[in-house]
Amino acid sequence: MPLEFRDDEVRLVGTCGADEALELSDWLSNPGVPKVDLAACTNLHPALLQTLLAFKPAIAVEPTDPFLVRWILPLLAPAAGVTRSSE
Amino acid sequence: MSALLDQFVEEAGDLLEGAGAALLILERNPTDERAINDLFRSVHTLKGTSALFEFPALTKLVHAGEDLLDCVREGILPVTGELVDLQLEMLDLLRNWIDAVRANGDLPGDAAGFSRDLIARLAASKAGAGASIALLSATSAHLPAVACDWLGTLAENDRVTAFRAALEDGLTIIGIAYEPDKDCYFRAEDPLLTCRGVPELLALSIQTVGPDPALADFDPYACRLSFHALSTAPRAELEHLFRYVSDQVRIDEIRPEHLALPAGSPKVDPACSTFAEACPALVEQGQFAEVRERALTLLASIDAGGRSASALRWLAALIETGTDKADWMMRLVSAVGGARLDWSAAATDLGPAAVPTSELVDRIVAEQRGILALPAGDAALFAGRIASVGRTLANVAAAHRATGAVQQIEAATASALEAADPGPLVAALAVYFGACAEQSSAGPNAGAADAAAVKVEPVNPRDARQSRVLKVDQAKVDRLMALIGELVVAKNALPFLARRAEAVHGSREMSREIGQRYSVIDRLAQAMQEAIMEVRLLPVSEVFARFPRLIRDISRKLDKQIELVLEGGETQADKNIIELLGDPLIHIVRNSADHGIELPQVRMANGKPAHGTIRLRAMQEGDLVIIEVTDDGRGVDTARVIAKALERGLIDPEAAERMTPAEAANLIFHPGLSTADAVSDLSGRGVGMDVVQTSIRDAGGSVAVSSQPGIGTTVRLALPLSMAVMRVMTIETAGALYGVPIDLIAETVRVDAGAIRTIKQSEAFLLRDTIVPLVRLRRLLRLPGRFEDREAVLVLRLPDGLVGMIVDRFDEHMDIILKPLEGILVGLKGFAGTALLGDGRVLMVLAVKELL
Repeated sequence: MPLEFRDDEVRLVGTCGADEALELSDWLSNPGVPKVDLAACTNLHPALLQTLLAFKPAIAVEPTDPFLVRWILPLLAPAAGVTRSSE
Repeated sequence: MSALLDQFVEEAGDLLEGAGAALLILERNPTDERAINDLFRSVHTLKGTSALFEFPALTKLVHAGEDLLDCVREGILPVTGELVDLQLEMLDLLRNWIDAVRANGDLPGDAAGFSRDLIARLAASKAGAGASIALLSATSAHLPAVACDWLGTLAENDRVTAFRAALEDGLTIIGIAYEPDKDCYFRAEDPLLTCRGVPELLALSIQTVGPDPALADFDPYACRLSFHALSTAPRAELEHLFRYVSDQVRIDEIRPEHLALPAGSPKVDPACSTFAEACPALVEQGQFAEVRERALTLLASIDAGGRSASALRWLAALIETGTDKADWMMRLVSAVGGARLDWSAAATDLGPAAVPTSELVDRIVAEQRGILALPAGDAALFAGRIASVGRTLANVAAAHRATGAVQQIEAATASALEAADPGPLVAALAVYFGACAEQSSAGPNAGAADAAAVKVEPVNPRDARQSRVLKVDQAKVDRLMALIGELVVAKNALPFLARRAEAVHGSREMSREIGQRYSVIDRLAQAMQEAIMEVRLLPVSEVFARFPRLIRDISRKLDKQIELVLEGGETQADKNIIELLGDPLIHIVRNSADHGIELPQVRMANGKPAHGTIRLRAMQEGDLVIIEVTDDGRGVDTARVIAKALERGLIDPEAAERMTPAEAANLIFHPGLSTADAVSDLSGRGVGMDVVQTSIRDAGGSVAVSSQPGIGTTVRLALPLSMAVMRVMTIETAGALYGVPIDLIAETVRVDAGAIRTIKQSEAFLLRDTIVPLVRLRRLLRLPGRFEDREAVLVLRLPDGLVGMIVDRFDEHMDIILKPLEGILVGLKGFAGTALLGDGRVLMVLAVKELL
């Protein structure tokens, strides 16, 4: 499963395609302070990306995929920054 | 593929061929009205029919081509080499696409990119003629690229990287603006994955488009992202990557200075103002290092988030590339002081009003000068011309943001129209485009005058009368022919039946009646056979059609002047023969152009005209079609051919000495012999003429060369008019019937057993003072041997000389329809095919060469 839910955290694993977007947005709509773990994500479909951009969840663990680190993380970075400073 | 699409593919092929031929005529004779009209009509028809299908890339391209041709037809645009090149390129591209449609039912994946590129160039060429308003702005590829408004969305660091790549490494920066449409996720597109695939990616920004919707209404499947990227990869590669979404993406070359967009808070520190005042002098003196020092010092002391700081960083980066672009530095310096930086306004600095020149502007203006210089002539035409020139010049000015010039030119156009005198416009042109090279007007001017001399009647494409020609798939004709062949065979059974009626049933009357019916059916069958053969006949001009282009390309490549003369194109032959002729002829013509025709200076030195002539002549001789390729080049150097042949051990010295010049010339057909000094791109790889000979012989034809040193070479091909019917002599051996193609048979003789001499294991006999080697068909076919007092010998004419073949019995001559071996028999050596006889027996036709 590309999406692994754990309490207040979702882990995106491997190739995350458009199919997961609805599940993700539903989950993110739940009350609470959701967090996202991108460490094992290798490809992020833009449908998921725009969902993350819209709901602005905190990035609990940053991605490791170089492309995501280089070009996508800065878009999500403010959230990541907050998480880091609170740690 | 639908029947309609089928028809389109067929028709498009013909139209493209017609257009290509007309284009080449036009290049030789730019005033040939018929050629212009033919060309235009072909392209116009193609555009019309293509619109029936979902091939937007194709339709748009043809449309652009037609626009350009329209200018030619109207006499606005002269026919130039570049124009012909461009149109030929378009036709080539279209031909490839049509082939792809034929094969896959769709255009190739990269069609959209190619289409866009070529359309831009066609439009630029047309804008050069000065006819259209809208298209000028579409020529961004050739005009200085206008700053893309999205560049600011890219991170400054990334832009600096790209900037350095452009200035330091001289790379071309390509900007990609990819705005996927809302529904793209439903088409399984993944824009981010596509961007991931961008080679040499230097910068990427992803933006959310439109206002943030309420989270409750958020639809994850409506794409609301846009992607912008920079890359140094070749444009074609990027076009290929984005080929499936070409309607959602714009790929443009980015001018490096457009990357330098200082951004940040507009607050200007007083120290920055001082810097902006002091530095221009330093820049002017060329003290760039000093400017950089100061910039870095200042940078350390001011707010890094300000616009001034950003400008300082750009200034430092610019100087670090080692450039001497003082103009750019000046602009950045003033930007540090708070001035607005607008790179696209570059033009205004060069002078208050004049439009900056570039090669394209030069060309456009020269054309306009030419048009204005034309005699006034018809009032309506004149007014049209003035209006068109005015519009073009205004466009050029507008494209360079010379607003003042636009207004002045428009005013001048109005007064020129009013006074029916080009004077005001000529004056305006001199003022605003004075910098454009005068001298360049000479060439195009003359061209324009030429073009104007052509009074082209507007053609109504619908006038093209529909010829009553039916297009039929070749397979259907082939099937009809096969059926008729079977009918002929079935008919041949009737005489046997007649004989049986008499012999077995004893009814002579019945036999006679069958005989009468037979003669009627026989006559009809023969008429049908002739008729179907005629359907398959094609004029040789079908093959000839490709040579004008070939010669044009070769002569350009080799810097030779070659004139091609085609004669007898109306000579007809069977479709198979015509198709088979193509490749050998190309080989021969290339050889003539490459090795035969000398360079112009060599020709002049030898007292020949500078341009060589290659003549292709077709004619019918009996049941043969003859094609001669004659050139007036240097001829075959027989001494060198013989030397080469000796060197490679192809002939022995004694044979070389005995050789007549004609025999020596024919050595060029020997495998592995090339007389080219250097292996050129065109021919002379040592394979060539022998391939020609093999394929012509396989079709039952022959090829010969004759040559006179210094005067020229003639290659003569002789082929049967039709391959479908084969004349054979039937022979009997060991109770079975075999056929031998009649054109191989020199004669039939009976030889006394005593006259056969045995030399070692080989047999031979003397035929009019010539020793002819003998073979026994029984032995060749591994059948039990049989010896008779008088052997029946078939004397065969083979490439290596005469050979006698001993058979059991000669039989009759027969016209047969040869069927190739099928199924598991395909690999069987020694047989060319089979034919069915009237009595139901099968005739095996021998492939004698294979058998020996």
